[in-house]
Amino acid sequence: MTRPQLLIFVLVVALLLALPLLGNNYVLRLATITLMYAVLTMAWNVVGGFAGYPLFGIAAFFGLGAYSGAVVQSSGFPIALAWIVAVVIGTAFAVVLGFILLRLRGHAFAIATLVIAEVLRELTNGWTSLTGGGMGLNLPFFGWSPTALAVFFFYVMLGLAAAAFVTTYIVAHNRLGFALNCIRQNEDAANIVGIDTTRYKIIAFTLSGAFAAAAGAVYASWTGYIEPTDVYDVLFSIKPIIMALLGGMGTVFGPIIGAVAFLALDELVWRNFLQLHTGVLGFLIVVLILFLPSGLSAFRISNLWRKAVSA
Amino acid sequence: MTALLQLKNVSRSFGGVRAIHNVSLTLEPGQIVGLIGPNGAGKSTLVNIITGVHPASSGEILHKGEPIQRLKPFQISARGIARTFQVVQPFPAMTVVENVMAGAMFAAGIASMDDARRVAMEHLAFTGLAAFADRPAEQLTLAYRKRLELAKSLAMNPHILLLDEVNAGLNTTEVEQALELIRAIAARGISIVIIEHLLKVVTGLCSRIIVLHHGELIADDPAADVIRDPRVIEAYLGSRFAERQMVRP
Repeated sequence: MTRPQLLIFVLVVALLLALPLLGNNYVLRLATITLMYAVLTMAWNVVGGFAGYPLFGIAAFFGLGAYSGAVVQSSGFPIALAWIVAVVIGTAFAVVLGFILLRLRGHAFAIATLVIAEVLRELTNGWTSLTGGGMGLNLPFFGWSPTALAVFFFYVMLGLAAAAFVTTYIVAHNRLGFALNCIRQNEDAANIVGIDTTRYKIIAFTLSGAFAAAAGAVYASWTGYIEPTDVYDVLFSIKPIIMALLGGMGTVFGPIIGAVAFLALDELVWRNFLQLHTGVLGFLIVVLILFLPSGLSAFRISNLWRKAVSA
Repeated sequence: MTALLQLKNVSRSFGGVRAIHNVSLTLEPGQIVGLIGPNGAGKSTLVNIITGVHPASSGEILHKGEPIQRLKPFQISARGIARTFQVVQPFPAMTVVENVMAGAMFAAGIASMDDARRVAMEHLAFTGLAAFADRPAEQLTLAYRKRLELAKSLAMNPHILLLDEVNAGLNTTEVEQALELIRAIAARGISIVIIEHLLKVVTGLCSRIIVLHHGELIADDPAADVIRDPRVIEAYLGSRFAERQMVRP
């Protein structure tokens, strides 16, 4: 990181840590959601950004994590154990799924991953004895004040986002990131220069799955009630992709910038155009991606200046 | 003594097409061997079989006496068998030095990225690409991209190098420069198998020439004998031309 980048980074972290001092639960809730999407986008970015595999299945891991955690927690176990179990299940599922799905490339991979969430949703729907089926699953009530809950889950999500960021940073700067970069650009050539492409792809896929599952488990505990159509919602697969596109795919800061930008736009548009909300939001995103194809993280004031001068 | 590389009755079919049929050959350390044959003879397929891209349907491939026909491409690279592609295969958006680093880090197993970069720079200097180190690979001209393939392969620290038409698409000057480079590589003690269409290049470089025709090995002799071999002339120019050649004293 360069010095200005580091300064901004420290400033943002300090502001985030101090955010609960505002005492505004609405802001805190918005921030927690943003952090959750930042985690999902960073999770997506490992496979979709670094390795360049069009992953459309974050919702599958998110939902699986949510239900794994919720089932454990509602059976009376402590919340921390529930989250750990969710991450373990999410990780194991990602290893097995990665081993099967990563033989596919391009569109076939995209469709296959898209279907996984639908299959899991149906399974969750049908397995009523364990998951409550379509009725959903209620999680035990904490008995804390709304403010205490909001602050607690904000810090948990912040911790998770920090872990995802550190992971992204480490991946981007070591052999794994280098190998994934090679795979994205030319997988056959990557194989020939001695990269065990299958192994590196499975590691990437597993990281994605683990973080998405963790986010799902925390989400379930936070909202206190989950149902299949909610946590396996295809939007949990799509939104992280749009956020990554918006922020900059395959970059370290892109996913966070994208998540913040998307949700800020979303909130702004929703407040001002209640009727046309999704339409306006969609239009703005298309315009942004058209004019900034490498994402907001590639945006430089100096570039703008150079363009203005040369025009 | 076990040969560096030995193929025993190797065959490969794609559906009903016999691309390679019953090919046996050995490669000794330090040799430069030319691999020639008309279009579609199976030259590139043979390289793909050796490097594990298209595994052999039957037969055995021994590297220093150990069978390698079941290994995956990345494992074969790590054993020191490197190749270049007929159609160059760079990582387009990565810089030239990063392309070479990939070979150093993975096939040659250099753990530290700084060390890999240092090694990569040495290979760039050797192949005359040092000035382009920080350019994206996609900006290089074809001749330089072919050199990049060579640099990348060398960074893999191979003792066998399979060159699939490294001179195709180059002009005369560029071919001369490429040949110098190949001789310099051979001088390092790396065994080279070179697929080539320009007979001048093959006879200039190789002491031994292998000829494939319809997937079968029809000649494996010293260079001077091969170009007079009637079967080889027939494969390239047809039987009538071969007969005419034979009638002459």
